Parts: sequence; structure tokens; C-alpha cells
Amino acid sequence: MNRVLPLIIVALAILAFATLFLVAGPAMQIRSIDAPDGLAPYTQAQLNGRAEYISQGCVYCHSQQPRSPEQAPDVLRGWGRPSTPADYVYDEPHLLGTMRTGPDLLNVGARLPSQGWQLTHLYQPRAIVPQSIMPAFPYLFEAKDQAEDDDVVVPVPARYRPEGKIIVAKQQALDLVDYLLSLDRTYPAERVDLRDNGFVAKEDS
Amino acid sequence: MIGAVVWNLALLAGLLAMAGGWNDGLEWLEIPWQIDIFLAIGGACFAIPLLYTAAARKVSHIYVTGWYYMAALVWFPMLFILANLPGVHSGAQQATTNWWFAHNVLGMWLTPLGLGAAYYFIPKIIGKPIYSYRLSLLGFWALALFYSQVGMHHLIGGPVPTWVVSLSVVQSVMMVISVIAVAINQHTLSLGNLWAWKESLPLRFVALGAIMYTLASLQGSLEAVRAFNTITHFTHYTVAHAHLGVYGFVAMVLFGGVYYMLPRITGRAWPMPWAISLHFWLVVAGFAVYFISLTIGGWLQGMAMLDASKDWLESMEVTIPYLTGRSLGGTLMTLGHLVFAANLAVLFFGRTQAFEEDADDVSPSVAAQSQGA
Repeated sequence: MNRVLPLIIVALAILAFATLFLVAGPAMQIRSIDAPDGLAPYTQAQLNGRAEYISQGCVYCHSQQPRSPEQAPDVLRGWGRPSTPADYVYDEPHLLGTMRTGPDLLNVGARLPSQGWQLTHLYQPRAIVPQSIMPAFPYLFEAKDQAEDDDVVVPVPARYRPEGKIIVAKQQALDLVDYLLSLDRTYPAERVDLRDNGFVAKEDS
Repeated sequence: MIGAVVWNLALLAGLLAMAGGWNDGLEWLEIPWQIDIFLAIGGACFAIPLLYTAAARKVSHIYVTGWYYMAALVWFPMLFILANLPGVHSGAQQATTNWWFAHNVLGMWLTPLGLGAAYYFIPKIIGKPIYSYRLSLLGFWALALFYSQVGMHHLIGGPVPTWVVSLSVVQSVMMVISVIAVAINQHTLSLGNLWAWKESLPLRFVALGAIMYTLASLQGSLEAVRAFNTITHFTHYTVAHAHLGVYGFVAMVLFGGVYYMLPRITGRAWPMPWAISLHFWLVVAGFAVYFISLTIGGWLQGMAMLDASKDWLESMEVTIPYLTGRSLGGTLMTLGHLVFAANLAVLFFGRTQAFEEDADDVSPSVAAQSQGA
């Protein structure tokens, strides 16, 4: 094979062919999906929180794509019904994730809807789950002597915060929790035909 | 030169950006697209002269390494630019683009770089030819055709259409054809000349790396099968596999390539030949610990995640001792890299002896082993 130009042209053509199937094909199917009625666009605060999620690298331990019951017991873990492309129409960039060092979060807003819980857990995960290996994010918070009027005080148990101080959430923490609480896709699934179920569903299972 | 400077500065900027929390939010595409522009410019500074050099050559025949490298040099820009375009992709569709990019960066950029290098260095160092020209043709075109479509095996069970996942699963298994073709060509030569592994330290890195490619790819074909993937998806098993490919294969081949080339490019012998061996053993031992730990830990993690009678937390707890193994293995690998860096530093900035290829009856590269290369 001794000619440069034909080699390059054919190589590029083969990649273009693959791109047709892997990028263009799914794009035609997915991008025409309407937003589900049960899914509201993110508010500005939630978008800021989503940017914080990206900045802190949460996607490297947490997924946002529950699998179907034929494949895995994700729904039994309270992670929600299997997700479809319709659930992600407002997600840019997508945060599907590839690791479950931590649990799936697509429905964490439905499963753990308490702002106090979420803030405490972010401040120090081991205050709530002693075996957790999630990093703590104290720098998203401030330790103060006294709360001011607008401050959101985080209910951190005394032994996990500096002596005599209270923990107040900074705006980044509040926005991040706003985003987490918005993660609720419990409305009825739309476009289930466009998700992969791992296995072909068996008639008798 | 300009390309090298721009590329390295852009990479440094990208690393600093990511460390500071500024990233594009996509795995394998983290570097902010504003900085990516400079990577693209730097890359073009390499690629264009290299392709022009190939076109302007006086020799008619293009050796297999040339096919892999030229293809990689045109594939990568197409992947990089399309995937990084801001404002074009979103949602589940972006996920398919993400994994089209990420797996093709492995299969159509890193793999060709590594395979091309192995195809060059193994016969060069041993002094004997590759087994079959036809197999190298098959290996190359099968890679192009099949590897380019495997990306959706990252989204098995995910919110994307079944047809594209199944397509990728099938192509992932078809890759076995390409992998076996390359394996026959490269490993019969290296394993049929074990004396060369003793004599040449660069060959050790390259040939071992090439074997790791075969193992990583066969493992990859297995992992793409739905039944297997159901267990390993979202676990450290995948992490171990990814490192077998990118580190066990590509990095090892590149180490060997650098050890072989630098004395010939600079005219200086490696100042500490013993350090090359030390580097080799540290990273081999370190990576073995790393890979074995995460493979076992990841498997157990996956099995626990599928067991509805266990709390999810147990799937994380079961990995803890294996993550410790990861740290141990990684530390050994890092030590090996520091040894490499030290050798490089002295080569460039310290006092060295002149490098001479020995004109004996053995292959010159092998005879030069006395100077550590």
C-alpha cells in the first residue's frame, strides 16, 4: 500500500462511515425528542449548581443513568426508573457518568429531598455515612462564630465542625444543592423505545 | 518546533485549568475548548509537515508503520474537532458523540501510534522482518473498519437506542480479527527471539507493550459482550482495563521508543543504563499490582452491585483493600517514572558519553546494549 493520498482518503471515509452510525444516526433520533411534560428546564441557580458539579468532578464517582430491571437492581436501590434520552434534553454537557464509587444520582432529588441533609453531606460525608470515601467539601462553606440574617446554617453535628463555630453554606454550596434537588425524573418515562435494556426482555421474567 | 512548544504549553494550560476546576464536563474531553484550539494548532504543526514528508518521499514503498501514523494523523483532528465543537452537542446525543470520540481516541489515535511503533522497533532491534505483509494489511484495515464503530459499548444499558449499542458490541467482537493478525505478526517475532529481550532494554518495553495490546483488546472484546458488561460497567474493572491499554500498551511502547531513539537523535549514550532496568522492573511490578488489584476489586464490586440483597454501600466497601493495592502499585509506577525522568535530565543537562552504534555481527541496536540502549 504505497500511495499517500488514497490511503488518507479511504481512512477518513471509513471514519466518516462510522460517524454516520454512531453520531449522526442517534442524533437524528434523539434531537427530535420533545421535553417531557414532567421535566422543567433548569433555573439559573440550578445551572450554577450544575457548573459546580462539573467543576468539582462529581461525575467521576457518580453516574446519572439508572439501568432497567431486566439488567440490574438499580430501581430497587431507590435510584429510579430506567432513564431515556428524553430525560436529558436540558443537559449540556451530559453527566451520565461511568463509575459508581458513589450511588447513581439521577433521582437523588426525589430520594433525598432535604436541603439540610445534602448540605451536611457535602460539608462532611462521614458525618452521615461513616464508611464513606467521598471527599469532603468544606471550602464550599464558611465557619463562623454567629449566623447573620440571610445565612443558611448547616446542621452539622458538633463533633464534625470546628469548636464553637457554626457552618454556613456559601452560594456555591446552595446552588449545588439546588441542582441536586432538581435531579428528579420520577415522572412517567417517555421514549422508552430509545433506550438500551442490556438484554432483550424475556417474556417469562 | 513551533508545534512542540504550542502543544506543550497548551497541555500545561489545560492541566492548570482542570486543576482549578475549569473543565468542559466530559470524560476524555475535559480540557476547555478554548485551550483545545491551541492543541489543534500545535497538532497541525506536526501533522502537516509529516504528511507532506510522506508524500514527498523518494522511496516508493510505505512500511506498515507509515500507514498507521498517517491514518492517525488525519483521524485524530477529525475526532478532536467534531467532539469539541462548542454548542453543537447536548443530552443523550452528546453521550454518543462523547463515546464515539473517547473510544476512537484509543483505537484510532493511541493504538495506531503504539502499533506503528511496535511494528518498527521490534524488527529493527531484532534484525529480522515481520512475518506477513498480508496480515499487516488485514490488521490495519480491520482496525479502521471495526474499531471506529465500537464506541457505544460504553453505553450498554444506557439511555441510547439499542441498535447503536448492538452495532458497537458486534464491532467490538469483530476487532478480534485485527488483534490476532497483529499479534501473529509481532509476537511470533519477539517471542521467537527471546535472546533479544535480554540484550535490549528498549525492546523489552516495546515487545511487552505490544503483548499488552493483544491482551487488553481481547479483554475489551469480552467486556463489550452484554452479559459480561452488566457486571463490569461502572466498576474499577473498567479502570484496570483502560490502564492496561493506555499504560500497559501505549506508555510501555513509548518508553521503549524513547529509550531507543534518544541516543541516536542526541548522539549521547544513556548516562545510567542500570536506571533503565530499574524503571522497567518498577513499572512492571507496579502495574501488575495495580491491574490485578483493580480487576479483582472491580469484579467483586460489580457482583455486589447486582446483588439486590446487598446494600449498594457494600459494593463500595468491598473495593477498599483493592484500592489500597491500587495506591501501592501506582506508587511503584511513579517511582519508575521518576527514575526515567532522572535519566532524561542527566542525558540532556549532565555529562554523558558519546553514543556509538557498534558494527558487530549482531544487530547494531543490540550491540549498543553496553551503553544502555
